[in-house]
Amino acid sequence: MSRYLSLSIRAAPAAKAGQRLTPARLADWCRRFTPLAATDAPDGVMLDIAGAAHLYGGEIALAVDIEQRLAAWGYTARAALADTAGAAWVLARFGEVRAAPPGGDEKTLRRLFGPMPVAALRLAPATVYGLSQTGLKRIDDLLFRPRAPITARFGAQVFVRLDGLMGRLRHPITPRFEAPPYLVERRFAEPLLQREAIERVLAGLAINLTQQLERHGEGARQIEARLYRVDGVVRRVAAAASRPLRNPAALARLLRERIAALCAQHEDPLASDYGFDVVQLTVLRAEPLQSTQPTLTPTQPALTPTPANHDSATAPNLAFAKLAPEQLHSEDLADLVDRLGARLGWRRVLRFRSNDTHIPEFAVTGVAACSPMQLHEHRRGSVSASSTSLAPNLAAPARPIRLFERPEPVEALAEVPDGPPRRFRWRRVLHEIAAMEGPERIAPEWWKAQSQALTRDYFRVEDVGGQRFWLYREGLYGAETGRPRWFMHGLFA
Amino acid sequence: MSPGGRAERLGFLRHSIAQIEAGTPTPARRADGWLCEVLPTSAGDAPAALAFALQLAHRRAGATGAIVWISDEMTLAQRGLPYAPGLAAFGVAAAQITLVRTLDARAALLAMEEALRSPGPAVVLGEMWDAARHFDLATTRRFWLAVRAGGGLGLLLHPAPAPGPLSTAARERFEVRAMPGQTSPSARQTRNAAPADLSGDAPDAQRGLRPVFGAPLWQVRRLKGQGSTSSGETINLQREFSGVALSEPQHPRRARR
Repeated sequence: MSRYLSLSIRAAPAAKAGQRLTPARLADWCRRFTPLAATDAPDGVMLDIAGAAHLYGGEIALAVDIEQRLAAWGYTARAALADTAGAAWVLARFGEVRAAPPGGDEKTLRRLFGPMPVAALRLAPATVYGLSQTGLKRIDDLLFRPRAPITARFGAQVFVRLDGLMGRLRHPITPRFEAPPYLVERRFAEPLLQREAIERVLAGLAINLTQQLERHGEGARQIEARLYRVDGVVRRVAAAASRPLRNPAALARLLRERIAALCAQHEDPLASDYGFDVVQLTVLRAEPLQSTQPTLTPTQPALTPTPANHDSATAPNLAFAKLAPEQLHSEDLADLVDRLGARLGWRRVLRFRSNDTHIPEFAVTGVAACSPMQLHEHRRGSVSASSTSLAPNLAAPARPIRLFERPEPVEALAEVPDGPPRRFRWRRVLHEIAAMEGPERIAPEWWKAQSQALTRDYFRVEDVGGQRFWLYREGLYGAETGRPRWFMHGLFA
Repeated sequence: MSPGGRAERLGFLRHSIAQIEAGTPTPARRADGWLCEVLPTSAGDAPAALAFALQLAHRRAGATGAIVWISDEMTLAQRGLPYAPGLAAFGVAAAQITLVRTLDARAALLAMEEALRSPGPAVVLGEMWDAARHFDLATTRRFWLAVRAGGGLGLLLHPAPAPGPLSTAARERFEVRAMPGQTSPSARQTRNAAPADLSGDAPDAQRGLRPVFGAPLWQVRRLKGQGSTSSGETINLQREFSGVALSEPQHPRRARR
């Protein structure tokens, strides 16, 4: 035995667990061949290639292609094809041929599967052992047996599997992801390396996608770009829109924004030493979108004042008043909201939704601007807005303009435990109360069984400097608590 | 080309020229871009400054124009989230607002410039913690160029008074101070009547003397502006400042014409 020191050897850490090809990752990668790919625990992947195989030069060519690609990464894989999922499973593990003849009758299948061991039925080891003890070692032995005694002893699973194998029962596969309603893709003989090239491909795919969408009268709400790296890694970039979208430039811009945002978080999806050889663009959620007639004139003819009775001061206002709120929340705004949503993430771009509750912090909540119920809420909100703005009143507003997400505890001094506050200390500053109004009692939602909340008495108070606060006392003195606590919940203008 | 089609096209051309000559803004572009800064006199006056900014926003956006409200998480934690039922009292409906909560100042500045450049929103309300540092001359100059392109109203809201002199490209700057509220005449009557009724009972009379919470009142100083109004003037404003001679932002080019 000899040892020597080689200086040219460089040590590198072994591949991380995250980089290993798990069945789930393999199934994701297999979506480059067909949208319907399911994991088949513990070590397999099941593909539904109906209608997809001819794109790869036939079924056998596809199976060979998959095997070769996996072999190039150092994995030994065996692909097999059959009419049913059960038969394909058996062929991949026990078969001597790669493919069962398509549409084969019972006789052919019996000749193919008959000599295989009972273990090919994917039964529990105890069942396989039990069957072999009784002399039933091959599938042939089971085929013409009376079923009742075997079912009584080994359970129904034996014949369910057998029927699945012989094509009498069809077990559907459970794809990891639903097939997207729209999918366009481009394949390359040589992998794409440059970011600009990939972005240009995505822009081109967006045009193809919009053509498909237009044919079906739909627009995309959620899109996803999938980039298949040659080493088996799949990169996904998802973007959402606040309204159905069918503009290729807008779709491409959303993806660009999302990629830029991911780059800012140091998760560049396009960074690649190997390059991408398949680029797919899919619509995950589509909604009906009516085609609109582009106007010939730059402005709406009905809204523009005619030169004869033209009045520059009032005309724009009139035109403004005639526009419906939906038109005002124009394409431009939706475009901006979509871009911000793609850049910052949708939970950061919000619109308000009013809820049917008296608890102040839940009465209005922010929901993502791309969430589907938005349009309806919008219209309802606009109506109430016009009614409030039409009737201005001099009374003090009943609700603050800013509300703290978490009410902040304050030290308040009241004359009596259940009376109004005299002064309070908030964020280390003492406020002397000059004017106040209250209490406004808001009871917890007692009809909800788990509600542990206490009754709140809200006070609107103004300190000597004119600053205004919304304070509440939590708990009814004597009835609910002996020591009511005070909280700062909001600020008035 | 048929004679009818030709006449139609000529008519449209004449109409367009007349429109251009009249300088009518198209409905899509409601007005020219404008950039305003609103500061509170002290940190406690921040809600008053916000309310004043909302009034400016309401003037531009009306009841239906879109308002994009951009704020960073620090400001929202320190000053609270915008609360839609309260905003309605200042003429701004919840449905008009799109709230953008950014994680840091950089994202907020990016979102603000993007929003100002877009012709979609009528008003862009941007607020940021440590605004005096972030809204510097270079940034606000970018904002000004963006808002000129977008044609909306940009409102830069400071959550606290500036520690030093400000140098920004904002066209106007207002400083807002909260004043003790003004009660309506009816409320004042009941307040004055209370001690007479309860003259014998000292603590109750004291409680009756305590003024009720009235309509908000602010003192607004215009620190920077263009046009005839001199800077540094002080006005007391009630919630609907109807009748107050607060000059509508006017673009110099249009003023000359």
